Amino acid sequence: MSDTMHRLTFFRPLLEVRCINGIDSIGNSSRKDAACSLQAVSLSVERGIIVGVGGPAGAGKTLLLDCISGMRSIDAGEIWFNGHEISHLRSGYIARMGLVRTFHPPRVFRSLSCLENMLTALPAERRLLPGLFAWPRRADLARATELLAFVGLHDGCWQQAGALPVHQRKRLELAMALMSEPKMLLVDEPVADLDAAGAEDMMELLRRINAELGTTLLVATQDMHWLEGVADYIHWLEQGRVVAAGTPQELGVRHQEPV
Amino acid sequence: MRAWDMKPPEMRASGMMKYAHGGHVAALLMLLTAGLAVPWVVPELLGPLSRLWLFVVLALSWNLLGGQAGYPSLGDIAFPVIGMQVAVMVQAELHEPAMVPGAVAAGGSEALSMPDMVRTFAGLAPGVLAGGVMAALVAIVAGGILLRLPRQHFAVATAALAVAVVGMGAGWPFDSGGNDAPVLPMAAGGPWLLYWWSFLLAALALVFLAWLHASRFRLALVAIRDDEDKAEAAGQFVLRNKVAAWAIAAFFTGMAGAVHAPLAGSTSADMAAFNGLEVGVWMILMVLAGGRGSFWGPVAGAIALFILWELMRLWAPQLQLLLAGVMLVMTAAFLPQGLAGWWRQRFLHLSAVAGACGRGGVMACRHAGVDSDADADTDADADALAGVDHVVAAGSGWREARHV
Repeated sequence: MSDTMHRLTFFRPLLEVRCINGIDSIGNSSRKDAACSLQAVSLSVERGIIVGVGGPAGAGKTLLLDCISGMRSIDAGEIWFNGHEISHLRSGYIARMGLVRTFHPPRVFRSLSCLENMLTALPAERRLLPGLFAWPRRADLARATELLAFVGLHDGCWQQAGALPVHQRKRLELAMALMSEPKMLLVDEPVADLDAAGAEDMMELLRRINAELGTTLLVATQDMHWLEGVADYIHWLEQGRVVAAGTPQELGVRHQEPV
Repeated sequence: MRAWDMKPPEMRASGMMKYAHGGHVAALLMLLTAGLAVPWVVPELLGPLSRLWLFVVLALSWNLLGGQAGYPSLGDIAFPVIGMQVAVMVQAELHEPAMVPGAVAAGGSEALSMPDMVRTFAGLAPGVLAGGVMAALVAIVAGGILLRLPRQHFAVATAALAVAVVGMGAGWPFDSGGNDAPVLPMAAGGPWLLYWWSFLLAALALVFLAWLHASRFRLALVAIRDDEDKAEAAGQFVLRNKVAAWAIAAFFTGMAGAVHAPLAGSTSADMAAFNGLEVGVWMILMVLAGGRGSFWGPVAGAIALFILWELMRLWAPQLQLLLAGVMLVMTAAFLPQGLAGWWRQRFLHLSAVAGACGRGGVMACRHAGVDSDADADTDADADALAGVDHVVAAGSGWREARHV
């Protein structure tokens, strides 16, 4: 691809992961049998779709998200986001470029209320220092409340985040990520710890985030059945390698409504 | 109704606007009015009360990084020492207008005329400002390096910084400055002027830090305390915020040190009245006793410990450090959240953990039953909604909570 084409970011996938190797802990990725390492993983995510990353526990899904979001360094390969190489940037820079992730288990600021949590996640240009000394604006509070309602935390504004049950903390974390107006969201295990009804709601919520806010999503989960319901394209990881990729139809199993 | 118009009782524990509402503004005004009245009501206590205001400044400043951001600095005493010595140097360079020849010649027994007082008051200003600015610069440079460390390592490294700075004052090679630098002799109006300086400084710190406490800057600091990696991953300027907090703290503590130099009549960091390392311990203790992370906690802690400190100075100066140790142990054992936590529990009927520390809280049960897909704990929460006074939500670290 020529240099000019590199600059035509609109025609390129939003996120490209090219042949990366990552290691889980201090160790050597050249050890091929390492239990949790990524080996030559490649994937690309087009704008405006939902891409799933599936695989059994220990397949390296979370590790992949860690590598993309800059929380771990990669040994080889490169990662491009929105026309910029982010392979070796720190997580803060990557998040400010508009690639935000969530965690499993969900991580929120426990001693702050939900609304305060939301206010910590204003868009990057509002986090610079002189502006940070200002009191929150009404418009920000309105936006925060709106997003909390959007994810289903209607009454939770003043609740302390650390006291919320896990499924609500997941929603709060999603709302915080959305507050910063990201281009793309990496969602780690959105349905772990949820029952069937909760998983349905989460599927609905992720689809609405994608459709109404136009956010591109990369969703990592163990639950293949659920993933087929939500994702437009799926990469299946096993032992750190992509062993299968395709649309849910191509992967052969049609999504069936739960009985 | 918009959500931020609702003001449920939970707001008192964790709401954002709690420092913008009337009660806190009123408390602040009352404190400042009391400070204004003091020189006429109890003129004989001007000296100790000046020190009290400086202690309030020290406690509030330490609380910014140590309490709210959770980075306990053991070496913040370096900043008053820097401020003190820089101020004296600057005043010596400027041929101190604070030194009023007439009053000194008269042995300080004559009252100053009004213009002299104004001159004396203003004469301290360049030194005080320079002290604060220099302390803040040191904090920015040192913080840029030290605040990258994990917090325990940071604590130890700052202790080393304090030892270095205090030691540097002792071995100061230049004519002006250092431990035994000549301090401006204060004339008859000295204590009175210094009281106003300390009060002005404390008022400035109180108002500015109260403002900061209601701003998004506090949220950024608490986010760092709760989960620094998450804050970084969410794209916050973590290091910059920590350095800014430390620089603000250093600016105020540096100015406090600069005002203290003429108050103590010495710039020696080892002096009994302002023993560097010892005050360093006390300023942390004030915050811990008061309740770290809150705004009024450090103020209350400063007042309570100041009274103890002065009594000890009168009766048993050699036991001061021992008392500090005992206080530290007692606070940790019986008041883990300090006076502020005790107050919240006793009078607001809220869990002591709720406001200051991220260990779960009280407000959970009220809304937990809202979603139909709530987990198994919902039964307990439903009981809470039905008016049960005490709920122990097991399994997720919730504390026993009493509902108002």
